Amino acid sequence: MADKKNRNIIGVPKFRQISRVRLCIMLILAAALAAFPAATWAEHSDNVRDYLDYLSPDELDEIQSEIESAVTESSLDIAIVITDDTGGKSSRDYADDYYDQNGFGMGENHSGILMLINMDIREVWISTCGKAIDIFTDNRIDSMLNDIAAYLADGDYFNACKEFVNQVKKYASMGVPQGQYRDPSEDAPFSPPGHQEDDFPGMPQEQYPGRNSYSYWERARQLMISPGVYFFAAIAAVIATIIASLGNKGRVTVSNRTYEQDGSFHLSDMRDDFINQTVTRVRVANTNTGHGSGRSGTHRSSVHRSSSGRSHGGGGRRF
Amino acid sequence: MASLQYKCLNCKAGLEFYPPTQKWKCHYCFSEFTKEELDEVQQVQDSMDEELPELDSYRCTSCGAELITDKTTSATFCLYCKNPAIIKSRFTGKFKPKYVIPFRLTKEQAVELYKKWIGKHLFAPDEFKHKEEMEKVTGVYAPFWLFDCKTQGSIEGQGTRVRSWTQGEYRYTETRYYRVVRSGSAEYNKVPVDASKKLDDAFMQLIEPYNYQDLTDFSMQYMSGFMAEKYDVESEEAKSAVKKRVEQYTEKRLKETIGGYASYRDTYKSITLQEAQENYALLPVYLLVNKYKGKDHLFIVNGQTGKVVGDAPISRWKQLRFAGLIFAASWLLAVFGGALFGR
Repeated sequence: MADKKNRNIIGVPKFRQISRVRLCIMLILAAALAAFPAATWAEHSDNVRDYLDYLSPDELDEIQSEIESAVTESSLDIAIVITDDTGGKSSRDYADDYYDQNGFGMGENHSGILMLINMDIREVWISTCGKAIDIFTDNRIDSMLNDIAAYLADGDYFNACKEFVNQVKKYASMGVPQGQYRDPSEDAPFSPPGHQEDDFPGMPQEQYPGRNSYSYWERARQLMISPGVYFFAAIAAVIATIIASLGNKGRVTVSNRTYEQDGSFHLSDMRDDFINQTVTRVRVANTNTGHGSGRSGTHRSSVHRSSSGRSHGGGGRRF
Repeated sequence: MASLQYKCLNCKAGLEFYPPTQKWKCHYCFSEFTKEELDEVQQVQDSMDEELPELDSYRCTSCGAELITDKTTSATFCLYCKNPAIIKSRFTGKFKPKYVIPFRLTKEQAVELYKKWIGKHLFAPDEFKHKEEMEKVTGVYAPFWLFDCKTQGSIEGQGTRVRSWTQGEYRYTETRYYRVVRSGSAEYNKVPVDASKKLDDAFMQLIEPYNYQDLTDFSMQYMSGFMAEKYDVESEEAKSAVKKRVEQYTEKRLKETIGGYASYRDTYKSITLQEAQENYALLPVYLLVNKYKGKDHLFIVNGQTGKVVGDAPISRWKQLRFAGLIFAASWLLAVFGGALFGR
């Protein structure tokens, strides 16, 4: 009995520190999540989908290799689709969906650009996604379409494709123009991000049927030989060890009041004398810098949502 | 000269102070006695004011063996018969403590606290987690100077108040400057200062505060069953430590009365310790010194409140093993978890 009573008196102070082990696990998970986008693949062997056989195998190879060099240079995925069957979809929707559902795009925001030559209605459409939306403003797309449509009108599909790849390279190296902004298009207003599940119920975007998906074990094998993984594991180990080694000797639990005699503190003088004042003024910059929809769009990138919920930009032209 | 020992009134075995009941207990016949009962039989308090000569050696009252002690050890156990032994001369004259706070924690509770504490230290070498090591936790009455003091001082600084508004095309910002003066005084009671050179000052400050409700007049009887040290830091030396401490307290207290400014900076301060009256007291701690690779690592528990402080030794080998484990785990996670993503 006496023992029990005594234990109450002691009141062992409970240190409010997160368990070190838990902290380590959290850190490792955070680092792991941060490391994954780097390990995204964007290697396709068939960026050109010519369903109408307008291009000869040699031409296909040439464009494919040009696309591959442009992809590494620009870190944008590039695709070309030639078809006459869009399943009743508009060129825009077909291009967007084709891009989304065939696993195109680099990085976590699926950056890339796709050109659709829709022979059904003789229309060319360029669809952009991720970073490409910002690089390819409406004006740039217009100018690209001008050049490409000229070849298409002549039935020169090969040079139209080459022109497309070259222009992508050109603009990608120029980067995002200063003053660029995104303008959600009126006919397809932005739906809140939560709505995208309505279109593909319960299906995360990563699971679109990929073109040449690697199997789980192939990916694991690739990761095993990737130096990034070792680097990441080493960083995690060092951080976790440092955290776990941090000694905590104990907290100070006395304050400046602990030993003060109650009521002994006495203020004999307490003054707050005004000395002087300064006033400065700055001209307020004009506040109408917001991107009004009525603004002329030299640097506008029109954006809309595709059926998968991703943002796409783009434009098209008949030929 | 023989040391002092409190003997059981029933069986004459050595009595030890037992924290849970705050009484003296005989471990042979399990009798317990109150302070009053002991005082009736042995009246040794009277002689404490006069200085007793320091002798070269002391003998155990029970078995007659020589006590092995440091120069500052004032209460201990006989190495041979394990009976408590108190060296009277180290509690008399200028070494007579005014106060004592008796132990509230038993050694078993302190060992339990150590077990928990060392368990949280992943890299503590295994030898410090063994039972034999834990049993080395010792209850010690540590010497402290308790200062009652008065401070007085004033601080001055510059404070600003900022207001801003927009008028027409301009945004105006008005800054008003104030001279802030605060003067005051405060009194502090029983600010403890470690009076033993053996114990680390910083650690001794971390185990504060003690609850002074238990503070009682010193009596040697409380020493029975524990180790005790006498002071070897003179009160004058301790005074400089307390001066620094209470002056900081007062400065902080004065600053707390300043408010309503957008910014504040000190321009002048002068705080002085006006009076300081010291009292010698023995306060209870449980102590364990871990020696690891030539370095002492302290574990201290406040013997009254149970507050734990200490630093644990780190084993490089354990650290390395831990790092390896995390490396392997992260690698597996990255490879097999990472492969789930990608396409």
